[in-house]
Amino acid sequence: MLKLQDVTKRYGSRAAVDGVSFEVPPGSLTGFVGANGAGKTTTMRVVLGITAADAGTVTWQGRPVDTDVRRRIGYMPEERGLYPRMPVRKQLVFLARLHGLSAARAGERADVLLDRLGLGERRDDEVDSLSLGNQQRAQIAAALVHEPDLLLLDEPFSGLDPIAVDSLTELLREVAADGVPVLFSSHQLELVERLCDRVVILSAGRVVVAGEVEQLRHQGRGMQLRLVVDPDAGWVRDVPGLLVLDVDGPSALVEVDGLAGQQDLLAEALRRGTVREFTPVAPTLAELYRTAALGGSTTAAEEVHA
Amino acid sequence: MSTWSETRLVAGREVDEKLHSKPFLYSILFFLVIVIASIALPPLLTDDGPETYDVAVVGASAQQLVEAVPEVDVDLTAVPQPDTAAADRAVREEDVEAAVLLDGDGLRLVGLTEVPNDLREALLSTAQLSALGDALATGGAAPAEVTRLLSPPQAGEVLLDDRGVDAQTIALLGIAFAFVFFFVVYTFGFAIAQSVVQEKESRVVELLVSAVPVQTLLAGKVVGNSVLALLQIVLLAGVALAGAAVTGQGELVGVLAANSPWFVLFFFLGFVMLSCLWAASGALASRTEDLQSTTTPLQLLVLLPFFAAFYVTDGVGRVVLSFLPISAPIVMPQRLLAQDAALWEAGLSALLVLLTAVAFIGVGARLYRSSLLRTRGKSSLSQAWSGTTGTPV
Repeated sequence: MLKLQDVTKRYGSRAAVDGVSFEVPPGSLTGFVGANGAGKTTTMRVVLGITAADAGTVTWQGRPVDTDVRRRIGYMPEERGLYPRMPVRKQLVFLARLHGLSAARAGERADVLLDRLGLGERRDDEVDSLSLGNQQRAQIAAALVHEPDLLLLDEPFSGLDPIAVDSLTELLREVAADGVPVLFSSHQLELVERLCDRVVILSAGRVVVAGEVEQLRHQGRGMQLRLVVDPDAGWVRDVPGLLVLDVDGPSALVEVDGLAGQQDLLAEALRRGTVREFTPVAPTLAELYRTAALGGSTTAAEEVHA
Repeated sequence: MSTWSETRLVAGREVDEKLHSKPFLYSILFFLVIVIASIALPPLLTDDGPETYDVAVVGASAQQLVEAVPEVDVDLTAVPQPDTAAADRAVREEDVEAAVLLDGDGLRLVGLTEVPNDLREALLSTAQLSALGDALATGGAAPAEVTRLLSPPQAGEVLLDDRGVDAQTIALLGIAFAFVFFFVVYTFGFAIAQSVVQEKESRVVELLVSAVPVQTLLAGKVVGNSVLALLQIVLLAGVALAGAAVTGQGELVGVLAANSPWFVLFFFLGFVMLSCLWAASGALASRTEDLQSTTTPLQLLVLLPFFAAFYVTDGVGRVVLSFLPISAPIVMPQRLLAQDAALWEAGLSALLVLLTAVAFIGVGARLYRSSLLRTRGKSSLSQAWSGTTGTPV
């Protein structure tokens, strides 16, 4: 498990990352979400040792991350880059060996990944001569070629077509299933919601939400309910203790505290007429993010225990 | 994995890339052609038309002999001298190419560093013919005398300066050393800067520094390029030696063999001294277009000593240049070639270059480290030095 504790990085007087704490457990995909400039890339660079943190600790399996651990990390930088004039396979072998693999093992891994990613035919082509999509695949191979113990991917899905997104997803799930913790950043919330077991949401350098996606969506605030009645839902405004979020003719979106409150609302609705729909609505990640980023509720933030 | 094996991997990639790069291979070919041409052409070029020589003569018989030489291969002008000492002096001062003495001991030739072959042969055959003519005119000779007259004639030969190679050749060699140093340092240095900025430009640098420490990356780059530069120099020196040997310039081979090790040593130290600075100047740029401006200080550091070596060719200035670390790699081998520097001077100068190299490597590594990950815009020297451009790694 990768664990960050109170990591802070300042550039001049501005804190790019401010007291960030979260965990990336093995066997799961963890989404790392935040607007541009929220500090995702800086956080990843701190883990990789590319950037030195001003404060805080990063540990792997309980030990501080050092050069040996870093060599076992697979990384895909946000700004893609490989040697443009170097053949793909040669490049992968070089990177794998730089991470400590033997020449023979590096060659095997490069071949396996190139075939798996559909680049087998292009293995001796220079990176420059590949299509953008294939360059992206080569970049993914570069992150995976040394059989990393931990995977950090900065916006791995950006620029991919839907089919490529699916095949990368499948690949990442496999890697995670092998027990490798995977942290990937994205600003595509729907994608993260669909793929990730866990999510860490960063805003202005701080963690505003962190935890299991399912749990986050269902905890921490009053239950939202969609109520559709016949003929008109306007009466909900008069119910005490009810937060009305929206009313539109027969339908209303409300927030109620507790089970008793819900039952009271249902009873009142039945008393007034026909109830066509009475559905709990879980907020989407996007909504959680918006609420959190706008400085609203941070109650969903999971406490990270030291 | 050890730092050394990582360094070797990075260096190996540099070498591999260069050996697969056409411009690099062409540049080696270009240098080879220049070296071969400069060795092979001079003997060919000097072959057309009779050579003109001024020849000092002592005594009437010597003068007659010189004047009797037909103007076929050589065109001789006799310069009469009162005595042998005066003739020697004329040779030393290079007023004449050689002196001809003809007395009871037979024919003797005096040269400075050599007596030109064609001059010697022309004099000998003329002397032989006139001796034969004399013998016939006096009514024949005894059979033994005829045999002696017909056998290949000999001449005593004295060289006043027997270093073997004339001052002009020494000067030319010095210039050749300076040129080769300048061009190889410049092209390889610029190549280092370029390969650094290309890693930044292609963003692959972020992958690299996530795998190996920055100083390992720098070391690998410098080692790889230094090895290539050194190989190129050794190759050129080897071709020059072989060329001189093949074209029968034995004296030149001796001088080259004696001085090449010094040249290679100074070249290596001088190259390593600047290599980290070249890498740093590459790191200061973030696009290839910025290189011209970020490498300007270094270009001057290579150009100025090169020109200084041309304009300051004697006196205290030259001695100072031969100890000043940035010009020593050019000037000290030149002084050694001209045999006006003692071995201890060369050793001291090499040590000074080495110490400067250590200091420059420190400076270069710091600048490289702090500006390597700044991928937008140029970094100024002061920003890079204080580490505010990017992030300390």
